[in-house]
Amino acid sequence: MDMFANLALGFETALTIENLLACLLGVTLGTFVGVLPGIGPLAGISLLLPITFYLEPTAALVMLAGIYYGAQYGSSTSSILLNLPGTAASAVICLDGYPMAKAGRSGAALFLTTIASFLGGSFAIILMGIFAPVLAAAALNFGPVEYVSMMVLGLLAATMLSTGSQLKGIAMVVTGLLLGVVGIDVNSGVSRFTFGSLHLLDGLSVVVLAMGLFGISEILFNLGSAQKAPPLDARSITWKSLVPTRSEMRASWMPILRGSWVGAVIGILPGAGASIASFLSYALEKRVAKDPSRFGKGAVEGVAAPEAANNSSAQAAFIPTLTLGIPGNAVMALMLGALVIHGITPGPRILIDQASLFWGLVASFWIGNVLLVVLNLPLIGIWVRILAIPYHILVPIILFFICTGVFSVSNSHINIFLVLGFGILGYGMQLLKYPAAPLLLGFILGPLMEENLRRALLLSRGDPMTFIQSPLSATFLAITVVLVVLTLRRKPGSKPNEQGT
Amino acid sequence: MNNPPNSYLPELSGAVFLIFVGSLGAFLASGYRIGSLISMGPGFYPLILSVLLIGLGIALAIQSLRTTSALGKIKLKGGLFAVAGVLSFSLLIAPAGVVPATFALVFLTSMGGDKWRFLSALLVSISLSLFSAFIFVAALGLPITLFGGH
Repeated sequence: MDMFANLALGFETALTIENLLACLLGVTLGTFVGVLPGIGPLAGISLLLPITFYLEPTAALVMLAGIYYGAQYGSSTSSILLNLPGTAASAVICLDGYPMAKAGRSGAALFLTTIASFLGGSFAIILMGIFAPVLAAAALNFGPVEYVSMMVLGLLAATMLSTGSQLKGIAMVVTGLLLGVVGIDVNSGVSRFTFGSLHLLDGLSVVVLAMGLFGISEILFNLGSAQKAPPLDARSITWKSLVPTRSEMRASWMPILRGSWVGAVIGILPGAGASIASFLSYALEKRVAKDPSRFGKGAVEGVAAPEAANNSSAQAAFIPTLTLGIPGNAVMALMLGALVIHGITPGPRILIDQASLFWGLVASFWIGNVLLVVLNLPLIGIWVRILAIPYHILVPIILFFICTGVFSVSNSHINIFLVLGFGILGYGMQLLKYPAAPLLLGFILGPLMEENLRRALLLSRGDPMTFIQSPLSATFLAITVVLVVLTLRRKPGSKPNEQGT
Repeated sequence: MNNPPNSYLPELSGAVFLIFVGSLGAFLASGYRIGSLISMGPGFYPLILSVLLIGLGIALAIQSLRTTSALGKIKLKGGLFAVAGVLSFSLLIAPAGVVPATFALVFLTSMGGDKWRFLSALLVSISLSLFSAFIFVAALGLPITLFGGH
């Protein structure tokens, strides 16, 4: 089979010293930001984006991806031990993980999450190996018309499927698309939205935008609310306590398998990220369980299934991102941004033109997952101690890295002003519950969208019907319309938890 | 929830901001050549987006009048100190070098916290300065000076 040749190429690439180191660094940093509450994978990845300028594109992506799935691992650790989820995706793990820890089974819970994560991740990697070439081959036939429709679908789906107000999400996508316009227009040479500043001719830097929206704003938002980490004795987790009992193991197999499926399906969908995957698989376990009342009191299924789901979806999210060039969430948008920075055009041609990068990245997921197992289990004590770093020491350090990071992008202090501006904007958006992820998605896809739109209308001699005449494009647009109608209809009354009166 | 007074003002202000951004975009975009569908000028695409944004802003404004909400608690002090820290870093790094900039950033930011200790701020500043010296200047060779301008 072709897949084995591809994977062989991948492992050959991923096992070079540089890529191995990048992977190790990525998953370690990922676990670190995952363990720390308040900094998510997004902030972690945007912090490290400038460093990846100095790396080969493959190593850069391997490292950034490592941060992403490493963070999923790490946040489960703090969820179980301290009831403090490091990322939204692992909030579910708290439900049964923390009760398990209180019952003295923290070691077993940690072990189970590690195994579940590993299996869930591996499941999605295999799926990716099988389906990515198929999808990419199909996408190679796409013309500009299909691309525009697919991007519209991707962007709208990303906001429709996420939580909160859809209208606000769409407004943020449009804002992002507008921000993507800043800079010189490649077709006419006119500089747009630059306010006469030479600095903005190249457009806004994705690093500046991401660090402002996800780094600075996060810090401003969390500043006062210092979470007091409950004291924890790291020595209480011994090697022996890590081993789950036989019945715990037996109870986990099926949930892990189900969680992997749920995660993979959700991960491929745009907009539905790891947190939705873990919530859904938790709900599924609760439904199929013989005795649902055990949930919330330390049921192993409640830890194993969402953990498998959230890692499976983290890996599966790469499928549409790398094969179609359509990122499903903000982390994937940043990955695409990193590709663009290295001069690689996202899209189905990556699989052909950059075969070693693609398969090397896929193989590195697996290596990274093995590294995480090795890293997480013996080093749990260290991760726990990291939680003890007080916020007033952490904040200046993070701000320092943000400042030097954006400064290094173009050696200009104007970038620091900009990052601060986007930070304050992001803070306001958080206060008013405007999601930041759609903005980043729009920003990344904006230039591609405009170019394809122009090309499509040029080819059709200015006839907008071209978007309906192509059957594929018509299908994309039809799905978009159905999605919009469904969400708008669901709106009134059916969401009691929404901020109403 | 025991949130402070509910009002439609927060939501409305967000919507008004969007309308403002959209109007600004439309104003700027109309200054570029618009062109036609068959050959779009540089102004075409941003103009569509701006109009779309204004529309969404109006929709959100109408929606906001029918709902009320309250802002979360705002921690002004810490945020202001952090902003001041970042600002002083950006102003100091080119003329004064990374070490003074780092000291300013760390001290200002940590003063915004609930409890700030001189010693810990000093230690953090020193270690970050050393870090910049080794990683940014020596290893990566970024054009950053430790002390003084270029």
